[in-house]
Amino acid sequence: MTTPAYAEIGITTNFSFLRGGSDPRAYVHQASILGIPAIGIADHNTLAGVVRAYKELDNDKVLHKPKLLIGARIVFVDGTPDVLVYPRDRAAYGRLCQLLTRGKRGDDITRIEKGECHLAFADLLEFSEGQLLVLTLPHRFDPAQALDVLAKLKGSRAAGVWLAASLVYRGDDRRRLARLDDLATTAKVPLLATNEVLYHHPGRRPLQDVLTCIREKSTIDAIGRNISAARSTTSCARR
Amino acid sequence: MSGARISALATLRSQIERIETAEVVHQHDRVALGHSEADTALKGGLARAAIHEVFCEGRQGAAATGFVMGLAGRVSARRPLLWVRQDFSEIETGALSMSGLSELGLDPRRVVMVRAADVESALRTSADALACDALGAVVLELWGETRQFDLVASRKLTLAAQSSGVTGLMLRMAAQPLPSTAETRWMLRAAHSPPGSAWSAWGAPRFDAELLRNRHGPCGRWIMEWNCDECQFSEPSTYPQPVAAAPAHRQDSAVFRQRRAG
Amino acid sequence: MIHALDEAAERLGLYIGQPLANARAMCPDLKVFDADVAADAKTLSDIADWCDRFTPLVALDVPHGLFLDITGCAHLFGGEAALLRTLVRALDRQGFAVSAAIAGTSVCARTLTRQATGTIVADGGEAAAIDQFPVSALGAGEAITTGLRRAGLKTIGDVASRSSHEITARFGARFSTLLAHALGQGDAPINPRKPLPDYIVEKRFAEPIATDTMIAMTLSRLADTLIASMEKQGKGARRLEAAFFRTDGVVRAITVETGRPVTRSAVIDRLFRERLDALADPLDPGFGFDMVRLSASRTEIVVQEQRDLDAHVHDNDEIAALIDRIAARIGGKRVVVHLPQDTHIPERAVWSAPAQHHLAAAMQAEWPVRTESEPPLRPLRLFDKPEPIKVPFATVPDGPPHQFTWRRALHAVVRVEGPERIAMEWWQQDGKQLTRDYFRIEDAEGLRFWIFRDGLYEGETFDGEGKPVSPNWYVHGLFA
Repeated sequence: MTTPAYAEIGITTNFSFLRGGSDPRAYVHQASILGIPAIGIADHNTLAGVVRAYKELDNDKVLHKPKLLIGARIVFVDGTPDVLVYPRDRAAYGRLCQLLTRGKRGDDITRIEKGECHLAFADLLEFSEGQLLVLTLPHRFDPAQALDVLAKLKGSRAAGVWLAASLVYRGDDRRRLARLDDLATTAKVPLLATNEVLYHHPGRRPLQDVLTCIREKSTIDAIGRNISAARSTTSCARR
Repeated sequence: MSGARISALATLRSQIERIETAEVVHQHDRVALGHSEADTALKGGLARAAIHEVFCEGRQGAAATGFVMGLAGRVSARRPLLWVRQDFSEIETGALSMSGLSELGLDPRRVVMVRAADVESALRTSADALACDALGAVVLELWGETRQFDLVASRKLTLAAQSSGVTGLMLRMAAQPLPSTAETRWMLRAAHSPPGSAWSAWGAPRFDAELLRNRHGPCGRWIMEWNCDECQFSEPSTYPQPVAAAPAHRQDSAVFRQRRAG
Repeated sequence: MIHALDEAAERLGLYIGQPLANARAMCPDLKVFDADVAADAKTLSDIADWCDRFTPLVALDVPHGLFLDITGCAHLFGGEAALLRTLVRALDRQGFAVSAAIAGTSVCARTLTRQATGTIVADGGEAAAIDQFPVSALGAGEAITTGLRRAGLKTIGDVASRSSHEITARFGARFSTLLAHALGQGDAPINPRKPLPDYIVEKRFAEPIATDTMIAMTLSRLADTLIASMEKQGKGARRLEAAFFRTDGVVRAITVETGRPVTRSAVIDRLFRERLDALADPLDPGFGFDMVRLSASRTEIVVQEQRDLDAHVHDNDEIAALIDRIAARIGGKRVVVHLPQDTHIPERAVWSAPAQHHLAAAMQAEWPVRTESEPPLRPLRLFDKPEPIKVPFATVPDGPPHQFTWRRALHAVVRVEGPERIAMEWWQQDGKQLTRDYFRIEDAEGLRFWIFRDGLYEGETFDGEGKPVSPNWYVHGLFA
């Protein structure tokens, strides 16, 4: 097996409540099977999934132990697109933990319900020192807003800023990638290939769909077009 | 002459008068397509209350459908559209897709589709529908050469359109033009997307539209693009305009050679 | 086994259910025909159609009986006796052996026909009329009939003299009810073949009519009367049936449906004219029709709108009327409007629904909003069944082809966008379906296609032995 020179950094596990369809350990095994050298787990506003993945590296069945990148996907309450945050060193890791703690506790403890996380873009900028930041954009995005966010990220004390380029399989990937490329050139940030991975194997799609239904408070029969069936992509399962 | 006969004659006279004046009444009722050269040739736009024919080769059916749909969208002014088609054409070029229609910026809610089994029934339904002035337009979609669509049938449709003010659009796929009473007659082909590698610049409906007959103006041939956002035709923005209103007989025009070569 | 027999055979002592060999032994030159149950049923149903001329309430009493509810109809035929005579004579002329009777209850009338034909029993006279009949005339079934005889109850009168309590205990509640009905105590409702229309008008002719003009005129007058009676109750018709009764017994019924309640006779007139005009098998008057009936089998309360104030409402009415006329001529299923469906799967995204019933819903349907400044993502013409195309081995494993052959023509791919990955809905139970990758393609000629690969590359398609095979490609639609 040839080793792919590709590290998947946009993995969501089932520690992202009702979003990820697979256990962090499953990703470790799948990466081992496919010979992927490094995977980055970035759950929604939490580091919990990474811990479990780490422990699994000790399992003897994991033959090709992938390098595990520790990070989180910061989901904002103010409409800013998600940013993947990977700390470069221990100090930066500490800042990321602080950021997440603030999100969970907030300024006013009574305002936030358990499990919720309230973070604004300004919070990230405050704790950005030493972080590697990857801006991920939704299928359709506003270039002006994206440019503004990228400029602010670059202006922060971050150790590096990238723009994520992923295939969304909605029928206009080439146009979208061309636009992302334009955007990256204008903002003078490099593009970083990633897949928005929600589960480790295509067989998990039904589970993923059910999770979406629960999240949207709907049933599988009624959800129809709303379900992101088109998003059933997995980088790990493809060679 | 008996009284009944006199009154019958009077009715006939008034009918003839109405038909004759209909043309005058509706003459200035034209809708601009959005493509300035074509609109100039058409003296301001496509005439309402008339019949227009759009021909194409068999494999150009989708392009011609798009063009007709665009014309219908322009003339019908938010009124319902009755689309009459013959069973056979659906097998050949596929069914008119409402999802596709809505992607063109047109409204599927206002389309009533009549699935006629054969040409006779399609013709009869169209004539009937053209007399209903609540409609915006009637499209008759036929596949292949048909004996039944002769000068008499064409005149009947024209009269119906003139008296009701409804526009009739004939989509004639895989057929050769024959003499008719149509106001305009077009030959449609799909046009290339503009050259170059810009991904953002291809995919919009583009037509190589040749105006073969125009009762009240010159003919011509243009590359026209349908603008889905504004629901009108336009000059192709990033396409060099090779033939500007070339006379219809100039088959050997630049665009044609380029198309062949491409 | 003998299924049915005529009077002559009956006189010889043959009986239904007798093995054929036995019967042949008793009567060597017996004429035998194969029983055809379906044909018998059809004949009974045809006779029932013919009987519609007497009353719209005709019920089948299989295998060889019919019930006619003639309440309020008899006077049209000169009284009950005359009606019965007309009916029996006409059927007799057509070669049927008929036994008919009129009574206050259907069960009593049926009991009468088993014993004698032509009887008319006045109300209250039921018990006396059947008093002396043998118990078999009740038609209660072999077991009960034998049981009654064994108990020494030979006539219906004998049974009636016992207390109903005793009869129920011995022969069951069903029999006791049957007996009560036969005696005129209460009645089982008959089960008419067709529901009674809301409004019926009919015209009978002493001299049969045959010309188109006469037929049209008759319908037109009937429509006037029908509308007048509906108008009194503020109703309009949604479903109309015209029945033409031929002198030779053949009945032809023609139905028209409308999307909105009809309240004008001119509209009814026009709908039937369209319908009659377009009949594949035209109305054949034969020797003429002696009766025409027009009925409104579905009606609705009409809401009076202030139409003159609102041109839009007027327009919608006109379109509904046009749809009704076209539907009358070519069939309601051939005039459709479109309703968006909540699914990803392109061929199921739209439901073509009959315009007569769904016009209002379609005009208010919510379609997915297209994204501005994007080219169309869905083709303008969609094949009901995707058409297979030949694709040479693709150079990029999960990419689009460089060329393909469709309908024997080779198309060179010049531009591509995609893929759009459409996964089948696994919760719909229709077998294993593959994920499709759709590409938008422009060929060298400028034609634009929507093609897809059925199944992920090396992921979903396998041969019989489980080895991966290259997936199939299809054209699903054409872009403008």
